[in-house]
Amino acid sequence: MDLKDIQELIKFVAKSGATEVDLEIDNVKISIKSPPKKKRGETDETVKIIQQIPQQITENISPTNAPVVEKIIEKKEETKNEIPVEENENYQTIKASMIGTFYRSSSPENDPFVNVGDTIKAGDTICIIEAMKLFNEIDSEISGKIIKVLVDDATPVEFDQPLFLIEPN
Amino acid sequence: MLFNNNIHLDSISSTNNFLLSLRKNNIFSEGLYVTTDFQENGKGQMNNSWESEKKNNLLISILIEPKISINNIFDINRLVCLSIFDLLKLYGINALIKWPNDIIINNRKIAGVLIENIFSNNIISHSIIGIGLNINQGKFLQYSPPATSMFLELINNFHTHQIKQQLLDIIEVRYKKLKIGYSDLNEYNNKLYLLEKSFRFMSNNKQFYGRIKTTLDNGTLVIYDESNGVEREFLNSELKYIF
Repeated sequence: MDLKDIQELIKFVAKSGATEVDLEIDNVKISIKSPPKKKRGETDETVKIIQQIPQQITENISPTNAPVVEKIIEKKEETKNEIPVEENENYQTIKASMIGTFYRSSSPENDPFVNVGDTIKAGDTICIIEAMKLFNEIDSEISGKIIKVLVDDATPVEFDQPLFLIEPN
Repeated sequence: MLFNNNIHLDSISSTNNFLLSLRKNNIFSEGLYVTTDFQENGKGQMNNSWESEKKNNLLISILIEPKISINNIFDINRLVCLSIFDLLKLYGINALIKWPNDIIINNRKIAGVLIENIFSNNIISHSIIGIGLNINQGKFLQYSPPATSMFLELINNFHTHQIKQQLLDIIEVRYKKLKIGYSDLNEYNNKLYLLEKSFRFMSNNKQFYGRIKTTLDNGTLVIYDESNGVEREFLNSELKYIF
């Protein structure tokens, strides 16, 4: 755990909505307090470090204006793609590694992990399969573009059932 | 001690989600746990919310790196449910385990477990173990089944910090046993809520009366269906208890 990790952590905490945080990492204790969060959209909150933190960290902390990454949807490619999607031999499927219920988002109020047209990297979480109340994050093993989602949200899937059609890159 | 790194937040929507959001940070490794005084909209299962008064309960998410096969996916759940059982036993409380993930005392729920796994090539690389344990809360509103707490069972207040430490110690011991191949399946099966009792269940929108017989190593629940005398196996969550 170095200073950079701690800075990162503080950013996560600031985003989480918590106002008081106690860290105990490798026998170092750190307490952080921030004023109550203002309305959504206002990002002028400051994080004060009140204990056992070297000075240079406080200087480096900036308000958490996390960059908003906008989804880049390549419309051109979608429209020119007129052959039925299943017939393209280059496409690969991501299959269910277990039996369970397929979920496209981490909770009903959240956006889906991925949508048709999104470009994903190997290691990105693409869905959750739940069995016996165990929620299993399924990561993609390939990089590419999502061509089709083959299963409806919150429906049961069998072992090895294809879930996503991917155009690898 | 395995669980050395702690992040404590005064308030958070979900300790599990917070822990998951740290996935790309170096701190995201076995032994880290996140606690909070208050969970704003704690996630029970997909839709059920978890109702908790500030500072009165233990709300914790623990990160381990079990590196076990996807076929042993239920091992961690069994381990955690039995650990909570052990903890309550220390205080003289006899609990039962409602398959798959609740801890019950006299038909009332005292704790719940919610585990989120991360896989890599059919190996569970990380498990995030979320636990909610009711400790000093004296009142519960909307619950089915109804809820209880250590306070309501023993009419005594407890230090949540101390109970947290005891639970972490118990989990660590059981986790070490799991790593050397100890099977806790029989222990788990002996502590099943409603074992051999006639009860109403629902599956695929059809209700039936049945008796829980056992669970299998992979977590499958076996119920004797009284309507047709057939033993049915439930692996997925299409099974509901009708209270």
